[in-house]
Amino acid sequence: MTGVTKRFPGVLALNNVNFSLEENEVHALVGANGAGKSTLIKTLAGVYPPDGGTIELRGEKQVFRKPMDAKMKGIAVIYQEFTLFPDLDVAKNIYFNMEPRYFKHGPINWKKVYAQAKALIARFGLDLDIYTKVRNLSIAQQQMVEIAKALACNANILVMDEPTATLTISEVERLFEIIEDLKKKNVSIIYISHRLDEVTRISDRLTVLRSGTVVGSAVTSQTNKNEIIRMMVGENIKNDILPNPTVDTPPVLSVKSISNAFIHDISFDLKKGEVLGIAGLVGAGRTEVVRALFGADKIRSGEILVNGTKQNINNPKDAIRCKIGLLPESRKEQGLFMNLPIRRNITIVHLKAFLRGIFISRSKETKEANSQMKTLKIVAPSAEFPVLNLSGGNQQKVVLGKWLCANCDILILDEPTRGVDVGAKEEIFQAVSHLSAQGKSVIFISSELEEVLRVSNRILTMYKGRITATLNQNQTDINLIMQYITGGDSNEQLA
Amino acid sequence: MNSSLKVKLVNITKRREFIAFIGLIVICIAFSFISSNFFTLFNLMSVLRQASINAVLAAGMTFVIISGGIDLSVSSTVSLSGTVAAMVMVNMEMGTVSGLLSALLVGLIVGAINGIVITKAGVPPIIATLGTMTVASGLALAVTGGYSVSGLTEGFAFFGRGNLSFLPVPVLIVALMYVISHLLLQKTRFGAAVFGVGGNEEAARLAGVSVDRTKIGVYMFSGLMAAVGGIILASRLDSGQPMAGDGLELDAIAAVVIGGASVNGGVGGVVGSLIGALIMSVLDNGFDLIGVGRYYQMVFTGIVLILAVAVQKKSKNR
Repeated sequence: MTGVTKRFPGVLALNNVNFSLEENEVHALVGANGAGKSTLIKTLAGVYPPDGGTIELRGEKQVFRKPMDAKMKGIAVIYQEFTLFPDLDVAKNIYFNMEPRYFKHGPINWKKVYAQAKALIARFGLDLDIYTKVRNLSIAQQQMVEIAKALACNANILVMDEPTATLTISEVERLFEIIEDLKKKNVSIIYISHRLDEVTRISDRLTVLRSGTVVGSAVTSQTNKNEIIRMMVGENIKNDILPNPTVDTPPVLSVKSISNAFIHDISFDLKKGEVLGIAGLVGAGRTEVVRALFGADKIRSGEILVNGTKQNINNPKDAIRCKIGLLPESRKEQGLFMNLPIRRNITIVHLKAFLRGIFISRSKETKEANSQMKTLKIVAPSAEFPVLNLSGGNQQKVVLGKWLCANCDILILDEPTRGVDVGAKEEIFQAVSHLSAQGKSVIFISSELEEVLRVSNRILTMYKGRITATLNQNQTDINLIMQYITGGDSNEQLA
Repeated sequence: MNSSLKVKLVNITKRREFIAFIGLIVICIAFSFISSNFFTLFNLMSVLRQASINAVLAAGMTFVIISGGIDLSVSSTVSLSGTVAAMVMVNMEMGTVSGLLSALLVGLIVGAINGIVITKAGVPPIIATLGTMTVASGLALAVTGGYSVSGLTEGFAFFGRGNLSFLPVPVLIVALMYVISHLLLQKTRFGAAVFGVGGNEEAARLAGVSVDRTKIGVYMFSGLMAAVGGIILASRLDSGQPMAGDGLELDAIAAVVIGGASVNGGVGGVVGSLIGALIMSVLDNGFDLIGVGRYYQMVFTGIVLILAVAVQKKSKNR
């Protein structure tokens, strides 16, 4: 791709971008949110026709006007949101809309569909049962179906957009094996990820985008994470946030032996002004614990004490009454009202504070929204801007602003840094640190262990729905946490 | 022009109902050129009077559609509330006030049933209200034996046929209902909850909104508006007719959608719905004036509905 340029109203999304992909290579594309990674990919895939520049495939100039054009030339994209039919089985999904026929325009040869699917899956060593409905597959398996779909139409360029975002560690390992295998079978891969440790591990080369321009390109083995981060953000970022030291403060939240279908016998205390990290693999029950605390899921046994008083938290409303707030793991589906302005997204939990008589006072709301936007450095033209048009980091800050506005004493942050660029991440860490300095308590969940370790006073580790250890921040390290969350053997745990 | 005024004007053009508003103006100008009878006070009042029932139903429907639902039962609620009011006044001789209250009560009950069936039994709104539509329609026919109930009180006639100076009473009722609806939707916590539930139900629940209560409230409000429509219609017909409301639910949905609300929920406003109802009424009236028959009017109304949504969709994507 040479000199590719793409304009959107008011934004230069891609500015004269050059990008090349060699045969049998894994080329990582990195950059903060809004850097232009997705736009570049969509240009390559024929979703957006470029405003300038050319795309060449093996020296041949290409014009992709629609996704089908790119697909015909062997370019397949696996987006973060899967494009599968949950009620069809694996084979039908793989060959959807390109089923083999008995003759041209004739009826579908289902026998052949299944035979081909079987052969394809065997050839690439994917562990899938072709007769299972996609609905019943894990996320990792669904991703394999997407890969199989791409391979079925003879793709030799495979683009993967944040493929590991929702995978567990072992699933990530499996994906990397598949990628290595694909490389050997003449498939070149463009790998987009926020996770630099993955990028440095799996890719042969990498290209860094910032604000629509290529700021650097390197052979992966000749660079390192710090250098990549520097290229991504363009400046040296502060990396020195540490939890505020907590003296022995009384617990604001005591969880006593709560259980439900997902979690077993969970007990812990959260102290005033403390940041409590929860580390665990996806599926270990981290989200389920905090959902139970917040009343989003029911608990079967055990009790929850807030400021020493037993509380029945049956729904989120009860939790909010106890001044508990939850920043949920998926902000789009659970945290935000995309069509509503920033203002209302911030005030919705605490509307009664903005009443004048029986009516909501818009000026009071606007004042609050503006003040939260200032505190959290939310970048938007005004408080009336719909959150739909904000970047991931700014959206996440709006969700945070919602709970700051509600004046919670206990704030639960479930994967607050997911899909958020490096700069915004730092701002979220700063907000957490600021909150704890004000005497608020925070429960912090992240799949990035370094993050948990950086912001938390104490860390709970979870494995298969149970708490396996409670660690003090200054007495632990990533390796130890990793042992506890992977169910590592007990001798090592004692060490 | 000072800049804040300019910003305000630009913002108005960005509102969803703006396209419908321009459409209404264009249609009015076109008809006033084609027919000299269009732009007369008498005719305009007649347009408003014609629009009143649809407008009042559309006000309730706006809440339902913004909440992400749909209410097909409003047509039967119009019929049932009208016949119940008529029977209370005629057969039971209980007077105008009882007639009015009984009609409103019918609307609230149908709405409450809709809301409870949808939230507690988990029946999708289109099916739940299809069911209650059939039930209410059947009840209206059953209690009247299929005949219309005539001989309503004189006081009752005021609501559909009366005038205050040059303004028809139903138009005043609509105005009042729209002021209430607008304030309820834009200015109260209930209204905020309606937008929240329709925009993202899970996020609303996690923000402490009582989703079920909000939905039940929405359908009760829609039922109440349908009952107000039922009162106006029965008063205009001077009788309670068990099939008087048939087909009105689709008109109300059309008005709301023309007004810029999204059937996916979370987006819309009563001002747009009012404009939508006026467009439909102006079209009917204008075509009458220039002698286009009823049947072709339906053809045009259908086309306008589709065009309106297509244009809004395009302008949103620009």
